[in-house]
Amino acid sequence: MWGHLSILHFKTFTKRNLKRFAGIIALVLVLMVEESILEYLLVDDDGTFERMMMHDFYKNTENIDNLYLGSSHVFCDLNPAVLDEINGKNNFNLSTSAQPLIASYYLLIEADKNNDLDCVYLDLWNGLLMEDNGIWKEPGELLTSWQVLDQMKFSANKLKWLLDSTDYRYVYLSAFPSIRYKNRLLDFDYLAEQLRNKMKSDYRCYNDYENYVHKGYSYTDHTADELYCTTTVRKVEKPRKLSSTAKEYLIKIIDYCDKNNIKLRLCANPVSDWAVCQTGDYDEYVMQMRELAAQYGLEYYDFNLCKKEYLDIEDNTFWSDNNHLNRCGAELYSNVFGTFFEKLEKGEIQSSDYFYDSYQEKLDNMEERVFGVVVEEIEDERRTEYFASLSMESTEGCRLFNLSTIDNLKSDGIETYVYRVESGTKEMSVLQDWDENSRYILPPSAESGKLYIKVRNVRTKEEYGEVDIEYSKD
Amino acid sequence: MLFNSFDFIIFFPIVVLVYFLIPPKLQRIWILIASYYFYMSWNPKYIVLILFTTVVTFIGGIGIDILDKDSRRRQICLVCSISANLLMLFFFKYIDMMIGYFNKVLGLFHIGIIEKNFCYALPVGISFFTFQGIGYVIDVYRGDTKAEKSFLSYALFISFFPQLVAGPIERSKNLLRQVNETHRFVYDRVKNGLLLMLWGFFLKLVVADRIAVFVDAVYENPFGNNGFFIVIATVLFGFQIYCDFYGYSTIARGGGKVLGVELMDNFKAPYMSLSVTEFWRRWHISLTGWFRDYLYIPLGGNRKGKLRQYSNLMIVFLASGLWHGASLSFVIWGALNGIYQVIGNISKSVRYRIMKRFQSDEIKWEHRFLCRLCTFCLVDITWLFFRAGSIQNAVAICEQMFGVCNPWIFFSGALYEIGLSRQEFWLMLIAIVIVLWVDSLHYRDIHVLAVLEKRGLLFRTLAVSGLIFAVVMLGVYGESQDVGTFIYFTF
Repeated sequence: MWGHLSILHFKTFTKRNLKRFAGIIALVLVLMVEESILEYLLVDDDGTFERMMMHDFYKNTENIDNLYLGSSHVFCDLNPAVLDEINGKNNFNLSTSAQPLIASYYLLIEADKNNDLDCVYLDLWNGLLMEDNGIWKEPGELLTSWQVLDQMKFSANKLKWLLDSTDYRYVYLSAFPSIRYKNRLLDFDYLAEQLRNKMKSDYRCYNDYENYVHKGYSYTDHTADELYCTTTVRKVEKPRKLSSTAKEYLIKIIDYCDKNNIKLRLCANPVSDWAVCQTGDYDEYVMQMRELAAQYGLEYYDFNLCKKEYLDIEDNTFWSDNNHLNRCGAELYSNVFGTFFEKLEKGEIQSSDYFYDSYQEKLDNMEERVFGVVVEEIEDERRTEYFASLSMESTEGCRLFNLSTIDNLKSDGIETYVYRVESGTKEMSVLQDWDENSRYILPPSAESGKLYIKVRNVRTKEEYGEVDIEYSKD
Repeated sequence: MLFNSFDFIIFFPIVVLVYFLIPPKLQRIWILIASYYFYMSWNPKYIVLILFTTVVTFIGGIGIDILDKDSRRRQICLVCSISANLLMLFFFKYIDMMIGYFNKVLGLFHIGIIEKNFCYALPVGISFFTFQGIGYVIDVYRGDTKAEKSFLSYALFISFFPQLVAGPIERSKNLLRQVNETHRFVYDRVKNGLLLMLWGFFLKLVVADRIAVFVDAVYENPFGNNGFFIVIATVLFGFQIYCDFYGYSTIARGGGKVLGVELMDNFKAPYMSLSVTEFWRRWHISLTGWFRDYLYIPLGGNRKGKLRQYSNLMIVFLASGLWHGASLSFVIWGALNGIYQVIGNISKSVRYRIMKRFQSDEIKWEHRFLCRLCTFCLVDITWLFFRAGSIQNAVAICEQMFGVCNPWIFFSGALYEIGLSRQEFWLMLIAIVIVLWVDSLHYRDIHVLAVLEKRGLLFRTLAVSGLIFAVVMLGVYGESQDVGTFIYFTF
């Protein structure tokens, strides 16, 4: 009798627990469906490079031999099709916009799961690795990681990256894209547009990023202006150190490659000389990278130091902007890059054949040039001092600008010619005739319009070019 | 640590998990540690205040219990325990106000002012735990409860984290017994507790914090947003403060339930009340009950004639106003509520005659609707003083409210330009309707949880997932918003 009762009890107990279990499973399933629908509606990944690239990566069936990791400099500058021809291997760019090294590390693991990797080329762009570039754990800094994470298949590796890359307070934002963009939920126009875009065959067939070619390569045919100009001074004067996070993940990548018998090449893809000079003492950075590489028995290949006879991309026709090569530049550079490593592999060359010892050495060997113009509005006490030195009746409403150049001029100075054209008019007002003076005043009458700055050599009177920037009272 | 912070979302599951995994003997110690950690996450130094209240009332309770019933020392023991707590409360909460008023008086006689040479933040929840401690010693003195002999249990009674900082102000008879028990994992209880917490989060994040965006925008700029903007904001504030405080209490009740402790229900559909008197039986029940048992009844209640009853009512409501904050506006808020009740009492027979004349009775829905509307309006007027923060602000807001007539804002779309978009505004209104619907069921003693329990698996799953969706996706929280603190944390 007792046995009978206990069986009954057991049956009731099991039935009750099964019901509870079914309830929990049903709730989880409904929530998962909810999340999927919301993700579809809220995440704006239509026409993004990362979506195309990750799809291409997952559908790739051929073994990836050479993997390229890094920021946009990789996917804009290196064409895997060109590299395939040179080294006869399967090359793939798994690079993403502003890819931090933590992302490179987890993408390397993701690629290594299903491929027998032979070599990894890791791009080390200084713009992402220095100590004042954040810790990449706050939401604003995580945007670039999210763009890739959202496109990754669910795996332990994805989960590890998610937890590792995010401050604990924001894990829910990394894990649930729908929550990240919940403010869009009541924007019905946005939802309707998303739905329209995502129903299109281009989106469904992964054909919505027209400049994407194949294997993580994206091109642009745009050609950059001759001289670069900026309204904010971004030139860093003091030498900067490698951030601790970057160093930590660089060492992790080195260790991972070492343990898994993957060759690792640390390199830096070229940016314009304007961009290199903006970062201050670039040689300080090169030295840090070389030392770090040497500690682990590696070499650091910086293509910003490449000699002109091997890589001649000084002309603006090779650039789409001051950081990225256009299609023409990428073809040229991919050839140089592939050939260099192929020859190096075969022992036909030494890296010193291709590279200068320092960036300064490169500048010294270059033709004298003005790389760009920096226009800074002065609003601090220097403004008061400057105006005090002038005997102007009234300075009210006047704006003071300082003009400087980034160049490699050795002895000669430069002089500038500055004029403005007010919006809606064609009239030119000269603010400064050819002069070495670096400060000029924008009068109170200037509402909005464009400033034009011409730069030339004081001695030879050779003009380096003309730049324009917009101004506005606001 | 706020209930609606990410820290709590991590803290609570850890506390619960460990609570059910450790031997029952250690449960109390664990919850006490968790409670102190919870409190110290605001300001570690203020843990001294909780310890002070705990030690003073614990010793006071034991003293009262062991001393002879007729002994004078027993009374001294009671008075000392109460005075020590009230002094602490006075020092931390009211000294600024008192010095301010004292200086005003001194200024009239051209005497030098008193300068306050110390500065501190108001300790969170001080009014709640001191009142809980005072209530306990009075209960022991009256013989309603036995003095607690275990310091551990008593410390937990004072600092039980779900209700520590904003109530409900628990009674020893209810909470002390429960903290002495061991609690094992009971699926249905934990599930119901979590559902209660979810409903609390809905009230706070979806309703209260969304309303707050509009109300704050209007009250911070009453000169720009005047006339009907202030009328709407004041009506909405009535719902904001309700959903904010009810939300907190519900999360607290849910949290307690998960841990096996049943906390008292602090609200019973107050906006369904037919009179202000009924409203106060349904609003902040733990505080109203505290004042009734420990102030109104000892003062004589309604046993010593009408005049005494009315003066007792006024005393209680003035004290209640003062309890809420050290500001004259809170006192006026309390006074208004007291006056309502006195007038309500006096006019009872007149109202009855009018009702008879118009052949109305309480069963008719029109009558009940009108009563509810009147009660809401009366209560809502008092919230204006509550929200304004000071008399000057309240007067300025009233001037701006009645000084401009701008009914076109209802049609011109101007309402959607004050913090909330059109969609957000309508979402807020729909959420308020949902709250009122749930309250109408609650008023008739129908609990949504119980209704849900009787429905099929599919319905339950959809209802719960819908609520989770609402809280997570429609809640006001996250990067773009500051984590909204609970209004009653400042009391």
